[in-house]
Amino acid sequence: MTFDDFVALRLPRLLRYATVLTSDAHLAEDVVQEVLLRAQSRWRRIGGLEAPESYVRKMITNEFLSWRRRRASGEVATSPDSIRTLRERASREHDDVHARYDERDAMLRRIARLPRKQRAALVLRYYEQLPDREIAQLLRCREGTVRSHISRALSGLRSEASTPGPRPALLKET
Amino acid sequence: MSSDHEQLIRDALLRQADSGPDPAAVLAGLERAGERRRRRRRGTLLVAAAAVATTALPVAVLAVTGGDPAPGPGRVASPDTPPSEPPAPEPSGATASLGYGPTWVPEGFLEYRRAFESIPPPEPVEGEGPTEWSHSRSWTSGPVEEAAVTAPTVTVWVLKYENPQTDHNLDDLPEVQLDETTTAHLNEDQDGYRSRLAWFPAPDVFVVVTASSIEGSAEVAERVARSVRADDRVQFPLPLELDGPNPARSVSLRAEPGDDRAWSALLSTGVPGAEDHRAELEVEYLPDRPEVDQPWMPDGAPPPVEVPVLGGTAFFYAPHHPWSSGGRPATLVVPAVDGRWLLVRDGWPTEGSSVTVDDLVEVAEDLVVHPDVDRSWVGGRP
Repeated sequence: MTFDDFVALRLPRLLRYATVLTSDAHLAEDVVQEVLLRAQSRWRRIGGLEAPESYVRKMITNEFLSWRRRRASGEVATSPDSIRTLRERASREHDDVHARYDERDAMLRRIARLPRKQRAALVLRYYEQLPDREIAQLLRCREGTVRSHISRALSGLRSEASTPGPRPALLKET
Repeated sequence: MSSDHEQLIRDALLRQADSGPDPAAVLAGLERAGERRRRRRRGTLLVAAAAVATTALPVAVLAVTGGDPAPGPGRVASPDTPPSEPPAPEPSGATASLGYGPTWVPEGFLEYRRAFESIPPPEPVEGEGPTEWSHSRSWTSGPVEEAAVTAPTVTVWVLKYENPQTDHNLDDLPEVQLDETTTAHLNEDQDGYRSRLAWFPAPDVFVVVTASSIEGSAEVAERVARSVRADDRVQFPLPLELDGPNPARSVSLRAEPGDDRAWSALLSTGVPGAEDHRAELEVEYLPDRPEVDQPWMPDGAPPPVEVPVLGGTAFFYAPHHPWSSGGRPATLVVPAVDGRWLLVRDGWPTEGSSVTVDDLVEVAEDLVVHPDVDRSWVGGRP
């Protein structure tokens, strides 16, 4: 399979996964593009693997976990390269402005505030439906650590859901 | 945890997946990146060459000075009140002047990061002019570790082009009128928690205000944007410099307000002789010894070996699957005399990366560290 074939076939799924992982469609786009650029330069090796998509997913996971410096979304707000992308997004997002607010939205906001490793473990279990053993391999930790991440994540989500009033992290404008 | 709750999590994640970006944008990005790579291979490192030619100072510092006086309170720099003719690059020692800044950020937000980047101008991509420099300042109300990730953060980023830009590529975004003459363009996340407001205060200056992890982020971004003005009095004393032929590309400092020891600096520079312009070396100046090997790194990485640096002993970590995500790039860890640590590494590791231990040692030995650099701006507000 050539790199172009791979992208044509797998890109939508990779973007969905990255979006769930990052809780941010813009960041997902950046992460996937960054990973695919690297994968492209090594495609001779990656394309020969038994499951290149799994490998690229692993790259996406690690990219998310090690996201830092200028890649951190807020620190360098946007690059000139993405000015065009801003425009392209505009019409797409306009259609979603009136999306229905429901419990799932509230849950997504809580998930988005989880520490990254907890969020990754949660996504790998509940979205990817992977067993703890595979999650542990992916996150390079022990199964017990995976269970701990998920337990803390669930506990955090539950306690926050039952907390009335504004979230403490939110901005209080003067 | 009830099964209902777990089902809600599954449903929520599926909903999140459905809101993923359009693959067309990524495909276009890959295409543009490929084009830039081809162009850069043909290009030259103009800024690097110019910096060496114009100044004997070790760091290519482009100061934003000589602009018109800052607009009055409440005024936003606009094309009709041009605050900056293209500022003439001039060396200013170990300090960069930051040309634009806000006069307001939300209550409780403290400044934690400044960055200055001189960007080698590649041949311009269609619709995008070559750039001279950029700088950014960031404020957060949360822990710095989570700033720009989950903690509420405001960033003002300024990009200076070489020439006036005629194709702004922003016209389809919703407009926000900052004042009578200045129109910005808003890009807001679906849930309103992250917004970017972008505009050209001068034909060759692009400003982006980002408010992230903030409820009502668009309103906050707008208020910050309205307060932005030209101000060449804001200084960024540089914590790291390079005293060698290869200039710094970027320098940044990030600190935890209120903790005098918890700060770090990052410098990047090019790799001499590298064909790919993206190839670079990174230097981090850290309060504690860095952990080079991470849990997700492929197994079997060789242990570090001792190498002499500046009369002392440093530790070289040979590259181990540096091309893989999470792999280990060539890295040098150097104890600094003040009890802090330097980390020098291949900043763009690829399968064909040619960075050697000698390259890393050379950068470490050319580095000038200012452990007492003025950080009085950390924890401050506009």
